[in-house]
Amino acid sequence: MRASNKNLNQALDRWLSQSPSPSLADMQSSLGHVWERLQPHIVGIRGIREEVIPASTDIRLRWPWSKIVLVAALTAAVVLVAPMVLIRTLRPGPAPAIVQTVGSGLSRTDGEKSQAIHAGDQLAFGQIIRSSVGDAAVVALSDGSSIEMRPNSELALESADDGVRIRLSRGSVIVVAAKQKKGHLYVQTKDLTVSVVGTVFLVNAEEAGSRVAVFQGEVTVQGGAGSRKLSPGEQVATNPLMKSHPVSEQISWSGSAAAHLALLPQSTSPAFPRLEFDVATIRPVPSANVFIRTADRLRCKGADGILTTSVIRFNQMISSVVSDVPQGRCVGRNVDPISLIALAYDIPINQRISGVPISAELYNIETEATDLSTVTKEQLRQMLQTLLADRFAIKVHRETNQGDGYLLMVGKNGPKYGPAFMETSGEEEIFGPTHDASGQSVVKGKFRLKTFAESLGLLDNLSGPVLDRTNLSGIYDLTLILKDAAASGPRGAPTSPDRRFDPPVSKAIEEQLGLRLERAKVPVEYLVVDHFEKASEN
Amino acid sequence: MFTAVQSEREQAIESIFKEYGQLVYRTAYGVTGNREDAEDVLQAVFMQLVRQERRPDGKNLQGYLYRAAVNSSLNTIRRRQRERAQQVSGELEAPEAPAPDDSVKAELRHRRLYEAIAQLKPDAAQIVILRYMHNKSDAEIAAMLGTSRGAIALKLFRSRTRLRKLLLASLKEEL
Repeated sequence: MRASNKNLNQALDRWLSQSPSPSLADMQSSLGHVWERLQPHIVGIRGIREEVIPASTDIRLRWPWSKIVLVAALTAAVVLVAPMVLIRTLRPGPAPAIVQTVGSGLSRTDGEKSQAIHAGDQLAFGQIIRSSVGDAAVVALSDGSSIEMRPNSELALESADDGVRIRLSRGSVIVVAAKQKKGHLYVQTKDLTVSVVGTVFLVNAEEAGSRVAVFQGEVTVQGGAGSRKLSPGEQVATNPLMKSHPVSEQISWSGSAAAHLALLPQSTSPAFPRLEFDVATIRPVPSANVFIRTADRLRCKGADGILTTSVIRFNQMISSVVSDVPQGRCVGRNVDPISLIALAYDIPINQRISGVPISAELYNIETEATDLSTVTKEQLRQMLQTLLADRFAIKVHRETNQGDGYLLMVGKNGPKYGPAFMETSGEEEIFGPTHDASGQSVVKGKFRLKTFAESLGLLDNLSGPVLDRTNLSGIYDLTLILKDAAASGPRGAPTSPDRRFDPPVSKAIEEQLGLRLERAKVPVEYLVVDHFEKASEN
Repeated sequence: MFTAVQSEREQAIESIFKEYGQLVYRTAYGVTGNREDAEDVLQAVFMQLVRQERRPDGKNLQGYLYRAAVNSSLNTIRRRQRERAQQVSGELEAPEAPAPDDSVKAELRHRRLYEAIAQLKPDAAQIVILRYMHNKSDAEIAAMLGTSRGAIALKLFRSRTRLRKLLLASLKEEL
């Protein structure tokens, strides 16, 4: 019994000694984030104390007599001014904002307690307003301006010297700013401030940086070293590594997206005219067939080449039969909605699309553009976006975070050109990554290096996306063979990143291709699906 | 004059945040095991300071913030436990669970441990976390919490016995 207690004590010690601890970088980032969230409250408290603190200042008791006269004069001034400040501050006036429309997921917090907000509720300065993952909301300011919040956004309203400041700490807002009689309306993120006097614009705050796009009027954007004015159709980002996307896509979550886009000058609006297929057939695969999970790649053929998903989810078998696609059409059998979304929004599948139910059905898809002979790949891509919006009622937004990843670079002795790495021509064709029974994984196909890097990111023992930094252009026949550690070593070999294969991925790439993988912090773009339904019947 | 008063107050909160923010965050992260909850705890603890809902003991600000961090983090653990209980009772059919890998096992172990610690008395939980998460000696814990070394040693012994009972089934699985 004593021995058993000893063992239990040892087990308890093990448990107690294994508390998770944050990385220094994560902790610094979290501390900064929380400090930012506390700011409105510190400012709010300070505002109330302006009238109270001077009267209770006991420091003056220790001041020399020579200053008493000065103190008396200042105190008199306070006595005269403070009531005016108090009257101005406490005068009942309109609430700074009222919630106009909201789904079920808007909440506010005064710090500790969080409570749901309903349409018609008044909002006060300093409260943190959060929209939930699936719900957008519209908040009306007392000056007639309105703020449309994207799902999963967070902001606070603050009183500025000459107007109202919207402090956006996460997500996106579209602001329709009423003409300001005097002063400005401001939107502030961690790295920029937008000031306006009357206009319609989008501000997006992400971990990697912020974006501003203007639909109507003019805004002044201040950030980092300087400031610049933006006109309708123009957009800026604070981080040059953030990809640029059409404004139409950035506001696709908005209930008023079409109205905002209509404000743009025609020449700057890539969304007009709306591009859609002439014919589109989408049929769910009968569920009895789904277990086969043999996914055909969705492929589109434009006048300038073939558009296809760069990679397919690792857990799926890929049909090795690559069917030909007629010009101007998109065709795919047993297509997973995630593959369709990835193709439409040009984003790798690997854990970077969230919000689509895993159990979503598979579909047989056949579409046809009106102008079969001249339609381009990019136009077909936009048509797929329209198809997703019309038939799957999809709403999406993108987020860019700094995350762990890898850079694919040329090794110190240069690429090892040969049978496994050969320059070729034509269209990309990718087979894999695939596993076989002998414990071997193969990444093989005709790749651009960018696509090859994306395929490597699919390997579940690499802990992040892989970006191409080889500066090699062109298309290559590439073959990378990876042997499972379990096949050559003891069973139950560790499964931690980069150790499941023997040799590990980075070494295999260096040995077989003359390329190298280097760990790095990289901007990782995610596509968040805010809303998605089963496809409507034809 | 107003400006001086404002900046003094703001500076005070900022310097407290700079000095003790990490302690609060580390404690919250260690207990809750995730970044979002740790941030919420850090914010809640400092909101109490900003509002002066609870006036900190000027002599022992560190002890006050640490206690607030532990209590708020354990409240989060209790809330999550309730939420999970409600979810489970609302599910008609349990989803097929895959065999847990090492990281899932570690997460489960962490959750069970802190759900057990949440059942200890607040001062006992504070002592356990100071000892095992922050590696503090009896003397250091006593100084921080304003009590004697003997009292700390006794409470640690009792807390361990209680934790062993609460976790008996799970600990036996490991033997």
